[in-house]
Amino acid sequence: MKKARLSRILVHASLDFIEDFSNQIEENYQISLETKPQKSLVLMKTKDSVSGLNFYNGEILVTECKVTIHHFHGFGIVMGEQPDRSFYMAVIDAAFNAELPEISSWKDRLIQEEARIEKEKLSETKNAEASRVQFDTMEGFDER
Amino acid sequence: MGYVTVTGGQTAIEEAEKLLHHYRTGQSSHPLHPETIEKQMRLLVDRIMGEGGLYAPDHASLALKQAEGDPAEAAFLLRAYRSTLSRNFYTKTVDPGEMRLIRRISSTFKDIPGGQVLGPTYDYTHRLLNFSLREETEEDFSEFLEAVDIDSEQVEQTPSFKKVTELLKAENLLADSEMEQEQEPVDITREKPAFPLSRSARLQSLARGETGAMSALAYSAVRGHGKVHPTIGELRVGYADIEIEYPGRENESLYIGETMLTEVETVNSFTETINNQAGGLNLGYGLVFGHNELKAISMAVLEHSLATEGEAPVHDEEFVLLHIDSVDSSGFISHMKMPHYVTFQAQLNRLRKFQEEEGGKPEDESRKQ
Repeated sequence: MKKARLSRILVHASLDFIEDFSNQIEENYQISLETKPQKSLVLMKTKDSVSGLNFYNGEILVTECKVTIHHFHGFGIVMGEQPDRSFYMAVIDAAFNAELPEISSWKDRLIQEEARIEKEKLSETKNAEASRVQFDTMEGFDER
Repeated sequence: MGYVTVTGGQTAIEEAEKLLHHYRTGQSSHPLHPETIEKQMRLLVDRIMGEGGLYAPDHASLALKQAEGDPAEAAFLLRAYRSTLSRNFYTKTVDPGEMRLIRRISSTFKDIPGGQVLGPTYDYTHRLLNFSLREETEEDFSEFLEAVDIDSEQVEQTPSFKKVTELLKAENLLADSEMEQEQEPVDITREKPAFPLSRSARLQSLARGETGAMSALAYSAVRGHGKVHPTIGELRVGYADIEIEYPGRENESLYIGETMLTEVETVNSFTETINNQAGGLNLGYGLVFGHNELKAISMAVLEHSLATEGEAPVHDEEFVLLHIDSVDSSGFISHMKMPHYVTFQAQLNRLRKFQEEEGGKPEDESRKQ
Protein backbone atom coordinates (compact mmCIF):
# COMPACT_ATOMS: atom_id res chain seq x y z
CA MET A 1 0.00 0.00 0.00
CA LYS A 2 1.35 3.44 -0.99
CA LYS A 3 2.23 5.70 1.91
CA ALA A 4 -0.16 8.44 0.77
CA ARG A 5 -3.07 6.00 0.86
CA LEU A 6 -2.01 4.38 4.13
CA SER A 7 -1.52 7.69 5.89
CA ARG A 8 -4.91 8.94 4.67
CA ILE A 9 -6.55 5.98 6.38
CA LEU A 10 -4.50 6.33 9.54
CA VAL A 11 -5.23 10.06 9.86
CA HIS A 12 -9.00 9.58 9.69
CA ALA A 13 -9.39 6.15 11.31
CA SER A 14 -10.63 5.91 14.88
CA LEU A 15 -7.88 6.05 17.47
CA ASP A 16 -8.81 2.59 18.79
CA PHE A 17 -8.45 1.18 15.30
CA ILE A 18 -4.84 2.25 14.83
CA GLU A 19 -3.93 1.65 18.48
CA ASP A 20 -4.78 -1.99 17.94
CA PHE A 21 -2.29 -2.26 15.06
CA SER A 22 0.37 -0.43 17.05
CA ASN A 23 -0.16 -2.68 20.08
CA GLN A 24 0.41 -5.79 17.96
CA ILE A 25 3.84 -4.43 17.01
CA GLU A 26 4.69 -3.15 20.49
CA GLU A 27 3.99 -6.59 21.96
CA ASN A 28 6.38 -8.38 19.63
CA TYR A 29 9.18 -5.94 18.86
CA GLN A 30 11.49 -3.49 20.56
CA ILE A 31 10.48 0.02 19.55
CA SER A 32 12.95 2.87 19.92
CA LEU A 33 11.42 6.29 20.25
CA GLU A 34 13.73 8.52 18.18
CA THR A 35 11.63 11.67 18.46
CA LYS A 36 8.80 11.67 20.95
CA PRO A 37 5.53 13.18 19.71
CA GLN A 38 6.05 16.91 19.37
CA LYS A 39 4.18 19.79 17.88
CA SER A 40 5.69 21.59 14.90
CA LEU A 41 4.69 23.61 11.85
CA VAL A 42 4.16 22.82 8.19
CA LEU A 43 4.12 25.72 5.75
CA MET A 44 1.27 25.43 3.28
CA LYS A 45 2.09 26.11 -0.34
CA THR A 46 -0.89 26.83 -2.56
CA LYS A 47 -1.47 27.38 -6.25
CA ASP A 48 -2.98 30.77 -7.08
CA SER A 49 -5.33 29.95 -9.91
CA VAL A 50 -5.29 33.44 -11.41
CA SER A 51 -1.56 33.62 -12.03
CA GLY A 52 -0.82 29.90 -11.93
CA LEU A 53 2.00 30.69 -9.47
CA ASN A 54 2.41 29.38 -5.96
CA PHE A 55 2.30 31.25 -2.67
CA TYR A 56 2.39 30.42 1.03
CA ASN A 57 -1.00 31.05 2.59
CA GLY A 58 -0.18 30.07 6.17
CA GLU A 59 1.14 27.42 8.50
CA ILE A 60 -0.48 24.27 9.83
CA LEU A 61 0.09 22.93 13.33
CA VAL A 62 1.02 19.24 13.29
CA THR A 63 2.24 16.57 15.68
CA GLU A 64 5.12 14.42 14.49
CA CYS A 65 6.88 11.36 15.88
CA LYS A 66 9.78 9.12 14.82
CA VAL A 67 10.51 5.56 15.89
CA THR A 68 12.75 2.70 14.76
CA ILE A 69 12.18 -1.03 14.76
CA HIS A 70 15.23 -3.14 13.91
CA HIS A 71 16.88 -0.10 12.32
CA PHE A 72 13.83 0.54 10.16
CA HIS A 73 12.52 4.04 10.56
CA GLY A 74 8.89 4.91 11.06
CA PHE A 75 7.43 8.39 10.77
CA GLY A 76 4.05 9.64 11.93
CA ILE A 77 2.71 13.11 11.28
CA VAL A 78 -0.83 14.42 11.59
CA MET A 79 -2.56 17.79 11.75
CA GLY A 80 -3.46 19.12 15.18
CA GLU A 81 -2.28 18.14 18.64
CA GLN A 82 -2.50 14.36 18.47
CA PRO A 83 0.48 12.77 20.26
CA ASP A 84 -1.02 9.28 20.52
CA ARG A 85 -2.07 9.13 16.89
CA SER A 86 1.31 10.36 15.65
CA PHE A 87 3.06 7.66 17.72
CA TYR A 88 0.76 4.87 16.47
CA MET A 89 1.23 6.10 12.91
CA ALA A 90 5.01 6.03 13.30
CA VAL A 91 4.93 2.47 14.66
CA ILE A 92 2.68 1.29 11.82
CA ASP A 93 4.88 3.08 9.27
CA ALA A 94 7.96 1.35 10.69
CA ALA A 95 6.16 -2.00 10.53
CA PHE A 96 5.48 -1.43 6.82
CA ASN A 97 9.06 -0.29 6.17
CA ALA A 98 10.38 -3.40 7.95
CA GLU A 99 7.80 -5.57 6.15
CA LEU A 100 6.90 -7.26 9.41
CA PRO A 101 4.65 -10.33 9.05
CA GLU A 102 1.84 -8.70 11.07
CA ILE A 103 1.00 -6.29 8.26
CA SER A 104 -0.26 -9.05 5.99
CA SER A 105 -3.34 -9.44 8.19
CA TRP A 106 -4.05 -5.69 8.22
CA LYS A 107 -4.83 -5.12 4.57
CA ASP A 108 -8.53 -6.09 4.63
CA ARG A 109 -9.22 -4.09 7.79
CA LEU A 110 -7.45 -1.05 6.35
CA ILE A 111 -9.52 -1.24 3.18
CA GLN A 112 -12.74 -1.57 5.21
CA GLU A 113 -11.78 1.45 7.29
CA GLU A 114 -10.96 3.36 4.12
CA ALA A 115 -14.46 2.62 2.80
CA ARG A 116 -16.01 3.83 6.07
CA ILE A 117 -14.00 7.06 5.91
CA GLU A 118 -15.00 7.71 2.31
CA LYS A 119 -18.65 7.07 3.16
CA GLU A 120 -18.44 9.56 6.00
CA LYS A 121 -16.96 12.21 3.72
CA LEU A 122 -19.54 11.47 1.04
CA SER A 123 -22.25 12.00 3.63
CA GLU A 124 -21.13 15.62 4.06
CA THR A 125 -21.10 16.04 0.29
CA LYS A 126 -24.64 14.68 0.10
CA ASN A 127 -25.81 17.18 2.68
CA ALA A 128 -24.26 19.99 0.67
CA GLU A 129 -25.76 18.62 -2.56
CA ALA A 130 -29.22 18.97 -1.05
CA SER A 131 -28.73 22.75 -1.26
CA ARG A 132 -27.99 22.68 -4.98
CA VAL A 133 -29.84 25.49 -6.79
CA GLN A 134 -32.30 24.43 -9.46
CA PHE A 135 -32.76 27.48 -11.63
CA ASP A 136 -36.07 27.81 -13.47
CA THR A 137 -36.98 30.60 -15.85
CA MET A 138 -39.69 32.99 -14.71
CA GLU A 139 -41.41 32.83 -18.12
CA GLY A 140 -45.16 32.87 -17.62
CA PHE A 141 -44.78 33.47 -13.87
CA ASP A 142 -47.16 36.45 -13.88
CA GLU A 143 -49.91 34.45 -15.60
CA ARG A 144 -49.95 31.80 -12.89
CA MET B 1 18.08 65.03 32.52
CA GLY B 2 18.47 61.50 33.86
CA TYR B 3 15.88 58.75 33.84
CA VAL B 4 14.39 57.71 37.16
CA THR B 5 13.38 54.09 37.48
CA VAL B 6 9.94 53.67 38.99
CA THR B 7 8.85 50.58 40.91
CA GLY B 8 5.72 49.64 42.76
CA GLY B 9 3.59 48.18 39.97
CA GLN B 10 4.26 44.50 40.54
CA THR B 11 1.58 43.92 43.16
CA ALA B 12 -0.91 45.94 41.15
CA ILE B 13 -0.16 43.86 38.04
CA GLU B 14 -0.61 40.60 39.96
CA GLU B 15 -3.92 41.79 41.36
CA ALA B 16 -5.00 42.95 37.89
CA GLU B 17 -4.33 39.44 36.57
CA LYS B 18 -6.52 38.00 39.31
CA LEU B 19 -9.25 40.41 38.36
CA LEU B 20 -8.88 39.44 34.71
CA HIS B 21 -9.39 35.80 35.68
CA HIS B 22 -12.37 36.81 37.79
CA TYR B 23 -14.00 38.68 34.93
CA ARG B 24 -13.13 35.95 32.40
CA THR B 25 -14.93 33.32 34.43
CA GLY B 26 -17.86 35.71 34.56
CA GLN B 27 -18.89 34.12 37.87
CA SER B 28 -20.46 31.43 35.72
CA SER B 29 -20.93 27.90 37.05
CA HIS B 30 -20.22 26.35 33.62
CA PRO B 31 -16.66 26.76 32.31
CA LEU B 32 -16.65 27.15 28.54
CA HIS B 33 -14.85 24.19 27.02
CA PRO B 34 -12.56 25.02 24.05
CA GLU B 35 -14.14 22.16 22.10
CA THR B 36 -17.52 23.87 22.44
CA ILE B 37 -16.01 27.04 20.99
CA GLU B 38 -14.40 25.05 18.17
CA LYS B 39 -17.63 23.30 17.22
CA GLN B 40 -20.16 26.06 17.78
CA MET B 41 -18.17 29.22 17.04
CA ARG B 42 -16.57 27.85 13.90
CA LEU B 43 -16.66 31.08 11.89
CA LEU B 44 -14.92 32.98 14.66
CA VAL B 45 -12.36 30.19 15.07
CA ASP B 46 -11.73 30.24 11.31
CA ARG B 47 -11.22 33.99 11.43
CA ILE B 48 -8.68 33.69 14.23
CA MET B 49 -6.77 30.98 12.37
CA GLY B 50 -6.58 33.17 9.27
CA GLU B 51 -5.45 36.25 11.15
CA GLY B 52 -3.06 34.23 13.28
CA GLY B 53 -1.64 32.63 10.15
CA LEU B 54 -1.90 29.22 11.76
CA TYR B 55 -4.36 26.43 10.95
CA ALA B 56 -5.01 24.94 14.37
CA PRO B 57 -8.71 24.92 15.31
CA ASP B 58 -8.23 23.62 18.84
CA HIS B 59 -5.51 26.17 19.64
CA ALA B 60 -7.53 29.02 18.12
CA SER B 61 -10.46 27.97 20.32
CA LEU B 62 -8.26 27.97 23.39
CA ALA B 63 -6.94 31.41 22.45
CA LEU B 64 -10.50 32.70 22.16
CA LYS B 65 -11.37 31.34 25.58
CA GLN B 66 -8.27 32.89 27.12
CA ALA B 67 -8.92 36.22 25.37
CA GLU B 68 -12.58 36.34 26.43
CA GLY B 69 -13.54 36.32 22.76
CA ASP B 70 -11.39 39.30 21.72
CA PRO B 71 -10.34 38.44 18.12
CA ALA B 72 -7.27 40.70 18.13
CA GLU B 73 -6.00 39.27 21.40
CA ALA B 74 -6.74 35.70 20.29
CA ALA B 75 -4.90 36.16 16.97
CA PHE B 76 -1.97 37.64 18.91
CA LEU B 77 -1.89 34.62 21.24
CA LEU B 78 -1.96 32.24 18.29
CA ARG B 79 0.76 34.13 16.42
CA ALA B 80 2.90 34.20 19.58
CA TYR B 81 2.45 30.47 20.15
CA ARG B 82 3.36 29.77 16.53
CA SER B 83 6.67 31.53 17.06
CA THR B 84 7.65 28.92 19.68
CA LEU B 85 7.36 26.00 17.25
CA SER B 86 9.86 24.81 14.70
CA ARG B 87 8.88 24.49 11.09
CA ASN B 88 10.05 21.17 9.72
CA PHE B 89 8.10 20.67 6.49
CA TYR B 90 6.49 22.34 3.52
CA THR B 91 3.33 20.93 1.98
CA LYS B 92 3.20 19.72 -1.56
CA THR B 93 1.52 22.39 -3.66
CA VAL B 94 -2.19 22.46 -2.86
CA ASP B 95 -4.54 23.07 -5.77
CA PRO B 96 -7.79 24.52 -4.35
CA GLY B 97 -9.43 23.58 -7.64
CA GLU B 98 -9.45 20.01 -6.35
CA MET B 99 -11.15 20.79 -3.05
CA ARG B 100 -13.97 18.64 -1.72
CA LEU B 101 -16.62 21.35 -1.80
CA ILE B 102 -19.47 22.10 0.57
CA ARG B 103 -20.37 25.41 -1.07
CA ARG B 104 -19.90 26.83 -4.53
CA ILE B 105 -21.65 29.85 -5.99
CA SER B 106 -21.20 32.36 -8.78
CA SER B 107 -22.76 35.80 -9.03
CA THR B 108 -21.44 36.16 -12.57
CA PHE B 109 -22.83 33.09 -14.32
CA LYS B 110 -26.14 31.45 -13.51
CA ASP B 111 -25.45 28.20 -15.30
CA ILE B 112 -21.95 27.24 -14.26
CA PRO B 113 -20.96 23.66 -15.12
CA GLY B 114 -21.52 21.52 -12.06
CA GLY B 115 -24.17 23.91 -10.80
CA GLN B 116 -24.38 26.13 -7.78
CA VAL B 117 -24.44 24.63 -4.30
CA LEU B 118 -25.43 27.02 -1.54
CA GLY B 119 -24.01 24.98 1.33
CA PRO B 120 -23.99 26.51 4.81
CA THR B 121 -24.77 30.20 4.35
CA TYR B 122 -26.50 33.05 6.14
CA ASP B 123 -27.08 34.79 2.79
CA TYR B 124 -30.77 33.96 2.59
CA THR B 125 -31.69 33.86 6.26
CA HIS B 126 -33.82 36.44 8.03
CA ARG B 127 -31.72 38.59 10.30
CA LEU B 128 -34.06 38.11 13.22
CA LEU B 129 -32.91 37.04 16.65
CA ASN B 130 -33.84 33.45 17.25
CA PHE B 131 -34.95 33.45 20.86
CA SER B 132 -35.59 29.70 20.84
CA LEU B 133 -31.80 29.18 20.90
CA ARG B 134 -31.90 30.24 24.53
CA GLU B 135 -33.66 27.01 25.36
CA GLU B 136 -31.63 24.75 23.02
CA THR B 137 -30.72 21.39 24.60
CA GLU B 138 -28.43 18.47 23.83
CA GLU B 139 -31.53 16.51 22.82
CA ASP B 140 -32.34 19.19 20.25
CA PHE B 141 -28.84 18.73 18.79
CA SER B 142 -29.27 14.96 18.53
CA GLU B 143 -32.73 15.15 17.00
CA PHE B 144 -31.59 17.65 14.38
CA LEU B 145 -28.52 15.63 13.42
CA GLU B 146 -30.70 12.56 12.89
CA ALA B 147 -33.20 14.50 10.83
CA VAL B 148 -30.56 16.11 8.61
CA ASP B 149 -28.94 12.80 7.69
CA ILE B 150 -29.83 13.00 4.02
CA ASP B 151 -29.38 9.86 2.00
CA SER B 152 -29.42 11.08 -1.55
CA GLU B 153 -29.17 8.28 -4.06
CA GLN B 154 -27.93 10.72 -6.68
CA VAL B 155 -24.51 11.22 -5.09
CA GLU B 156 -22.26 8.20 -5.20
CA GLN B 157 -18.94 9.95 -5.43
CA THR B 158 -17.55 13.36 -4.62
CA PRO B 159 -18.42 15.58 -7.59
CA SER B 160 -15.72 17.61 -9.28
CA PHE B 161 -16.41 21.14 -10.44
CA LYS B 162 -14.56 22.73 -13.29
CA LYS B 163 -13.54 26.25 -12.42
CA VAL B 164 -15.45 29.10 -13.97
CA THR B 165 -12.22 30.87 -14.82
CA GLU B 166 -11.07 27.81 -16.75
CA LEU B 167 -14.09 28.27 -18.98
CA LEU B 168 -13.26 31.94 -19.49
CA LYS B 169 -9.70 31.03 -20.35
CA ALA B 170 -10.91 28.41 -22.81
CA GLU B 171 -13.06 31.02 -24.55
CA ASN B 172 -10.15 33.47 -24.64
CA LEU B 173 -12.07 36.03 -22.60
CA LEU B 174 -9.33 36.78 -20.07
CA ALA B 175 -6.83 39.56 -20.39
CA ASP B 176 -3.23 38.67 -21.09
CA SER B 177 -1.33 38.45 -17.86
CA GLU B 178 1.99 40.21 -17.45
CA MET B 179 2.87 38.73 -14.09
CA GLU B 180 6.41 38.03 -13.09
CA GLN B 181 7.52 34.44 -13.13
CA GLU B 182 8.74 33.45 -9.70
CA GLN B 183 10.64 30.26 -9.14
CA GLU B 184 9.89 29.86 -5.44
CA PRO B 185 7.34 31.85 -3.46
CA VAL B 186 8.57 34.41 -0.94
CA ASP B 187 7.85 33.68 2.72
CA ILE B 188 7.16 36.98 4.52
CA THR B 189 7.51 35.30 7.92
CA ARG B 190 11.20 34.72 7.14
CA GLU B 191 12.05 37.54 4.73
CA LYS B 192 11.46 41.15 5.64
CA PRO B 193 9.05 42.63 3.09
CA ALA B 194 10.69 45.05 0.68
CA PHE B 195 8.31 47.06 -1.47
CA PRO B 196 7.27 46.53 -4.16
CA LEU B 197 6.45 42.98 -3.09
CA SER B 198 6.32 39.99 -5.35
CA ARG B 199 2.87 38.56 -6.04
CA SER B 200 3.44 35.62 -3.68
CA ALA B 201 4.47 37.92 -0.81
CA ARG B 202 1.48 40.14 -1.46
CA LEU B 203 -0.92 37.19 -1.39
CA GLN B 204 0.63 35.78 1.79
CA SER B 205 0.33 39.16 3.45
CA LEU B 206 -3.33 39.47 2.45
CA ALA B 207 -4.06 35.91 3.61
CA ARG B 208 -2.91 36.87 7.14
CA GLY B 209 -4.82 40.16 7.16
CA GLU B 210 -7.54 41.20 9.58
CA THR B 211 -11.05 40.61 8.25
CA GLY B 212 -12.49 43.95 9.37
CA ALA B 213 -9.60 46.03 8.08
CA MET B 214 -9.63 44.23 4.74
CA SER B 215 -13.38 44.52 4.26
CA ALA B 216 -13.23 48.26 5.13
CA LEU B 217 -10.53 48.86 2.51
CA ALA B 218 -12.28 46.68 -0.08
CA TYR B 219 -15.50 48.57 0.63
CA SER B 220 -13.71 51.86 0.00
CA ALA B 221 -12.49 50.49 -3.34
CA VAL B 222 -15.91 49.48 -4.62
CA ARG B 223 -17.63 52.60 -3.22
CA GLY B 224 -15.60 54.84 -5.45
CA HIS B 225 -12.22 55.30 -3.78
CA GLY B 226 -10.72 52.82 -6.17
CA LYS B 227 -11.02 51.54 -9.67
CA VAL B 228 -12.51 48.09 -9.19
CA HIS B 229 -16.04 46.83 -8.72
CA PRO B 230 -16.01 43.14 -9.49
CA THR B 231 -18.55 40.36 -9.47
CA ILE B 232 -17.87 36.97 -7.95
CA GLY B 233 -16.82 34.65 -10.73
CA GLU B 234 -16.74 31.83 -8.25
CA LEU B 235 -16.76 31.40 -4.49
CA ARG B 236 -15.80 28.01 -3.12
CA VAL B 237 -15.71 26.61 0.38
CA GLY B 238 -14.33 23.16 0.90
CA TYR B 239 -11.63 20.86 2.17
CA ALA B 240 -8.18 20.60 0.63
CA ASP B 241 -6.06 17.50 1.11
CA ILE B 242 -2.68 18.29 2.63
CA GLU B 243 0.34 16.16 1.81
CA ILE B 244 4.06 16.45 2.49
CA GLU B 245 6.96 14.61 0.97
CA TYR B 246 7.91 11.48 2.89
CA PRO B 247 11.28 12.26 4.54
CA GLY B 248 14.07 10.96 2.33
CA ARG B 249 11.82 9.69 -0.43
CA GLU B 250 10.95 12.15 -3.16
CA ASN B 251 8.53 9.79 -4.88
CA GLU B 252 6.43 9.10 -1.78
CA SER B 253 4.07 11.44 0.00
CA LEU B 254 2.29 11.45 3.32
CA TYR B 255 -1.24 12.70 3.87
CA ILE B 256 -1.47 14.72 7.09
CA GLY B 257 -5.10 15.88 7.04
CA GLU B 258 -7.32 18.43 5.37
CA THR B 259 -7.82 22.16 5.78
CA MET B 260 -11.00 24.06 5.12
CA LEU B 261 -10.43 26.94 2.73
CA THR B 262 -12.48 29.69 1.15
CA GLU B 263 -11.42 30.64 -2.35
CA VAL B 264 -12.74 33.53 -4.42
CA GLU B 265 -12.09 34.57 -7.98
CA THR B 266 -13.54 37.93 -8.90
CA VAL B 267 -14.22 39.05 -12.44
CA ASN B 268 -13.49 42.69 -13.15
CA SER B 269 -15.27 44.41 -15.97
CA PHE B 270 -12.89 45.10 -18.82
CA THR B 271 -14.19 48.65 -19.10
CA GLU B 272 -12.97 49.36 -15.60
CA THR B 273 -9.53 47.91 -15.99
CA ILE B 274 -6.66 49.98 -17.20
CA ASN B 275 -3.71 49.05 -19.41
CA ASN B 276 -5.91 46.30 -20.71
CA GLN B 277 -4.29 45.82 -24.05
CA ALA B 278 -5.98 42.55 -24.86
CA GLY B 279 -9.41 43.87 -24.02
CA GLY B 280 -10.22 40.85 -21.87
CA LEU B 281 -11.45 40.41 -18.34
CA ASN B 282 -9.09 40.66 -15.38
CA LEU B 283 -9.42 38.47 -12.32
CA GLY B 284 -8.86 39.05 -8.63
CA TYR B 285 -7.85 36.26 -6.28
CA GLY B 286 -8.55 35.49 -2.64
CA LEU B 287 -7.80 32.40 -0.57
CA VAL B 288 -8.09 32.20 3.21
CA PHE B 289 -8.08 29.62 5.98
CA GLY B 290 -11.45 28.27 7.05
CA HIS B 291 -14.88 29.53 6.10
CA ASN B 292 -14.48 33.29 5.84
CA GLU B 293 -16.20 34.64 2.75
CA LEU B 294 -16.02 38.30 3.72
CA LYS B 295 -12.25 38.13 3.98
CA ALA B 296 -11.79 36.03 0.83
CA ILE B 297 -13.88 38.45 -1.26
CA SER B 298 -12.08 41.43 0.28
CA MET B 299 -8.75 39.79 -0.47
CA ALA B 300 -9.71 39.34 -4.11
CA VAL B 301 -10.81 42.98 -4.37
CA LEU B 302 -7.62 44.23 -2.72
CA GLU B 303 -5.40 41.88 -4.69
CA HIS B 304 -6.76 43.25 -7.94
CA SER B 305 -6.70 46.82 -6.64
CA LEU B 306 -3.00 46.48 -5.85
CA ALA B 307 -2.38 45.15 -9.34
CA THR B 308 -4.14 48.19 -10.81
CA GLU B 309 -2.75 51.70 -10.96
CA GLY B 310 -4.68 54.46 -9.23
CA GLU B 311 -4.50 57.32 -6.75
CA ALA B 312 -6.74 55.88 -4.04
CA PRO B 313 -5.24 54.24 -0.92
CA VAL B 314 -6.30 50.75 -2.06
CA HIS B 315 -3.89 51.01 -4.99
CA ASP B 316 -0.99 51.75 -2.62
CA GLU B 317 0.67 48.47 -1.72
CA GLU B 318 2.52 49.78 1.30
CA PHE B 319 -0.58 51.49 2.67
CA VAL B 320 -2.77 48.39 2.35
CA LEU B 321 -0.39 45.65 3.37
CA LEU B 322 1.18 47.45 6.33
CA HIS B 323 -2.19 48.31 7.87
CA ILE B 324 -4.22 45.12 7.59
CA ASP B 325 -2.21 42.94 9.96
CA SER B 326 -4.17 42.44 13.19
CA VAL B 327 -1.15 41.86 15.40
CA ASP B 328 0.69 44.88 14.02
CA SER B 329 -2.24 47.29 14.19
CA SER B 330 -3.72 46.18 17.51
CA GLY B 331 -0.26 45.99 19.02
CA PHE B 332 0.66 49.50 17.97
CA ILE B 333 -2.64 51.04 19.02
CA SER B 334 -2.55 49.17 22.33
CA HIS B 335 0.99 50.23 23.06
CA MET B 336 -0.33 53.73 23.63
CA LYS B 337 -1.72 52.43 26.93
CA MET B 338 1.79 51.63 28.14
CA PRO B 339 3.54 54.22 30.32
CA HIS B 340 4.84 57.18 28.29
CA TYR B 341 5.74 59.21 31.35
CA VAL B 342 9.20 60.18 30.15
CA THR B 343 7.94 61.16 26.70
CA PHE B 344 5.18 63.29 28.15
CA GLN B 345 7.46 64.80 30.79
CA ALA B 346 9.84 65.84 28.03
CA GLN B 347 6.95 67.50 26.19
CA LEU B 348 5.93 69.36 29.32
CA ASN B 349 9.49 70.53 29.89
CA ARG B 350 9.69 71.84 26.34
CA LEU B 351 6.35 73.59 26.66
CA ARG B 352 7.32 75.28 29.95
CA LYS B 353 10.65 76.36 28.55
CA PHE B 354 8.90 77.84 25.53
CA GLN B 355 6.48 79.71 27.77
CA GLU B 356 9.31 81.12 29.87
CA GLU B 357 11.20 82.28 26.80
CA GLU B 358 8.14 83.89 25.27
CA GLY B 359 7.23 85.53 28.52
CA GLY B 360 3.82 84.01 28.78
CA LYS B 361 1.46 81.29 27.77
CA PRO B 362 1.23 80.71 23.99
CA GLU B 363 -2.12 81.53 22.52
CA ASP B 364 -4.34 78.47 22.34
CA GLU B 365 -5.00 77.74 18.66
CA SER B 366 -8.38 76.19 19.42
CA ARG B 367 -9.59 79.35 21.19
CA LYS B 368 -8.87 81.57 18.19
CA GLN B 369 -12.02 80.29 16.60
